Amino acid sequence: MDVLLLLEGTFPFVAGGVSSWVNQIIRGNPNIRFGAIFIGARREDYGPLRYALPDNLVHLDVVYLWEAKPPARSRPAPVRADANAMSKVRELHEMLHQDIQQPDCLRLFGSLLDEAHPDGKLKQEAFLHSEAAWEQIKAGYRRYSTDPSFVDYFWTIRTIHAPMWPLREVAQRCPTARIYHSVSTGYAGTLALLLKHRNPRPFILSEHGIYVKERKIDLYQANWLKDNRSVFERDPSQVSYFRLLWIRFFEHLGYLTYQAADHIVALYEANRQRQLADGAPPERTRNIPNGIDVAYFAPIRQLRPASPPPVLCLIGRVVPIKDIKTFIRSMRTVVTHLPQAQAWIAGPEDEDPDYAQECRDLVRRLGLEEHVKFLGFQKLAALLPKIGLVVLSSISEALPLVVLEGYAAGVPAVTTDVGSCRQLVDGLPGEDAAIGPSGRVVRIADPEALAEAALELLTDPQAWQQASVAAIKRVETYYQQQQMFDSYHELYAQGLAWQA
Amino acid sequence: MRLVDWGVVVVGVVLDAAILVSPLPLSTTTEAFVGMWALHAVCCAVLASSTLRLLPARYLQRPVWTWLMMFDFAFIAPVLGPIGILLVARATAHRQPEQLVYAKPQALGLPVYDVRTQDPQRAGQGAIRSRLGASVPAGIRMQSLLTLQAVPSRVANPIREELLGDAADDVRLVAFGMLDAEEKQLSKHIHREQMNLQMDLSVRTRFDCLVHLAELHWELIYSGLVQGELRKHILGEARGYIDAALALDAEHESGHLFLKGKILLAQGEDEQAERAFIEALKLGHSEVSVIPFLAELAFRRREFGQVKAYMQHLFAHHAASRVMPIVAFWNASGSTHPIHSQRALNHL
Repeated sequence: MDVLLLLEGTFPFVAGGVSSWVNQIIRGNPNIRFGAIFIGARREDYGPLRYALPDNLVHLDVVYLWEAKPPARSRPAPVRADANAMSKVRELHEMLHQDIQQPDCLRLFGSLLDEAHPDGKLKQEAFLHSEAAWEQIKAGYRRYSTDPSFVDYFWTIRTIHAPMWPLREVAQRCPTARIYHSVSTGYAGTLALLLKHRNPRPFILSEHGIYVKERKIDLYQANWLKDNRSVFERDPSQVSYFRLLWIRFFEHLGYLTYQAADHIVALYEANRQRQLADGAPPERTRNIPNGIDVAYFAPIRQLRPASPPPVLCLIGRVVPIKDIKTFIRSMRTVVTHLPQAQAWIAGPEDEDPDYAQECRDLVRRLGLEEHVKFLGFQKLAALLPKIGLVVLSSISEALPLVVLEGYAAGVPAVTTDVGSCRQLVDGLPGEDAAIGPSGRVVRIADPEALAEAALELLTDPQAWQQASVAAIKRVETYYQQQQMFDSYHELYAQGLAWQA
Repeated sequence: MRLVDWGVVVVGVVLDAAILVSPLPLSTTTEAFVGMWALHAVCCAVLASSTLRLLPARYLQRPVWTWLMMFDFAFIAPVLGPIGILLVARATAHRQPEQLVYAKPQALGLPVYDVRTQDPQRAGQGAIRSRLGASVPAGIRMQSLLTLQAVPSRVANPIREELLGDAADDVRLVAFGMLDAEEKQLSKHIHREQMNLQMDLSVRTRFDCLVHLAELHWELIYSGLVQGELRKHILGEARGYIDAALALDAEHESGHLFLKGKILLAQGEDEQAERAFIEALKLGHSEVSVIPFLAELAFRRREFGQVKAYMQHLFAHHAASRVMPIVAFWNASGSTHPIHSQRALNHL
């Protein structure tokens, strides 16, 4: 196996932008033999394969980090933990608290993770049932916890550490690869770090979104994290201890992954800057934007009508991060001014059925049943000739492929100002910007602004035509699939040549 | 009588001490053992009874428990217990309650209760906003945003709305999450009530359901969660529900008409809004709540004499609310500084 891809919550069991990119990379490099390890939460959270597996994917393994184990039949026996290993665990935790930038931190983390196998000095039973582990948790609570509940502290520490053993287990059975390629930091990055520790090989990290940032946003809003401080202890401006503990955990995983990676790839400059701020060594970072097969979409342009069809289409999964509701709300304004307007939502609804139902309820509440259609998954080649605008109302994106695919078919886009969307619509300063805007960019969660931008293009054929021309030119100039393949060919070739 | 009791108490203590120094504790017979403890119990009982009579009335609200406590104390610790009780009795007997001098109460005009007094202070908003500016580091902006969790939605939501355009992803996404969670909560209730409305309901239940739907839609407006066309649509829905409720043959309260008035006012239907407010007053709604709206309607019609009359009326009510600076402005004798008053009227 040449390249082992480490994938957390994406290809091949989850559809989406990152998964499509992984599929594209594997198929675009037919001479490279790929392997993949899918890291998921629980088996029941995923359905069947969402992608046909490419022929050059020669290995696929799956690990679930939060899979419930059957209850033990008997009371677990006490286990004696290795004193030296526990002392090193203490040392590592001390480093994580005090100075994660110590050079030893990465080595110590890798070596301790490597000891987490069933016969190792840090086997899971030692963590769960040894007196030494109990004493260490107690000491940690006394020293660091600002939350009064020891019970919650105990279970939080257990939960945070729990995925390390499944990761170590999958690393054990994983065949050797010549390059490790992770598509995020977090658990996938940690596994790559461990694999590299066990078998030093080049490690490429490609981040679409910034994993640490996304986890932080989730955690800031999570309701499952307890705050047991009394009304006198609570300061609304202070993040609760357990929330902070989880955030720091993912920050540390991110930092250690950046330190372990040989090449760190971002999709665009703002994300690269964020990686640097999170501790990525500057000399190892670079940008490789997404690209698409423009030639595949080019014939669609001939099928398009001369004037813009009054159809706004959101192509994507019906999930909260796409903020479908803002798109639906914007249609209330659009139809007031353009009564023949239609909104199509083309994407699977099975990932978050509750959210999909909320969207349908919202359509009914706003009286938009005649104007908003949920189409489910659609083939783009059939869909794109019929639509006037690609709408992207997401609250978070990296470099969305659907916008590029729409461009390739000559469809302008109205997007929210997230990820690289402004760069895709207005262009980077210089020659790119001189092409002109290929759509409009609006603030997130602003239905009025979204509606106004859409109306501006749909009711002005000349403006729409100009945006369409700019879209085609931009995607043909800067976002060709081959450019992306060439960049990755070069990275892979470097890694493989080093070993030769 | 008190002297006799004191005498009994002293004798009881002496007798108890005498039992201890008598030959009884040294004897090994069962009779002597039982006799000694029986005599001790009798001494304790006499002691407790006499001491009880010496205690001031304030310690005798539950005399049985007091007696039992003293008996136990004396019985458990021979000699020392009775001496302790003797000292307690002496200490309490000499302690007279202090003569408290109460100030003569002065009657003051109480402020009329008005829910609007619970509106937050504007100074707080300014303080938070100053920590959310673009020049403030993202970490502090995030911390300030989290502080908004402790601020009422009506104040916090416009600030969160502004933060949707923040330069930092984390800040705008957390702001979005907060707004979304609130909207989601209201939408969930709306959906549930709409489902209820589909069922075969009694007139009263249907009425309650419709009113609740109007209130929930109004809450979306009041919390600043909807803008533009969407706001118009939601106002239309709220009005539809309150009209449908009031059209039912069910007893309605002043609050329902007050809500209708506010919805109509937000829709710009001034005449109908005024009629609803006046009807709410007739049904007994608090004048302090309704009059500011009537005054605003009069102001819109440029009937300043009417505005002044309303304000004088409010002044007489000692309205303790945020309208007070405006009331003071319209009443020449108001204590508020004129500059503050003018500032309060800026929005008009």
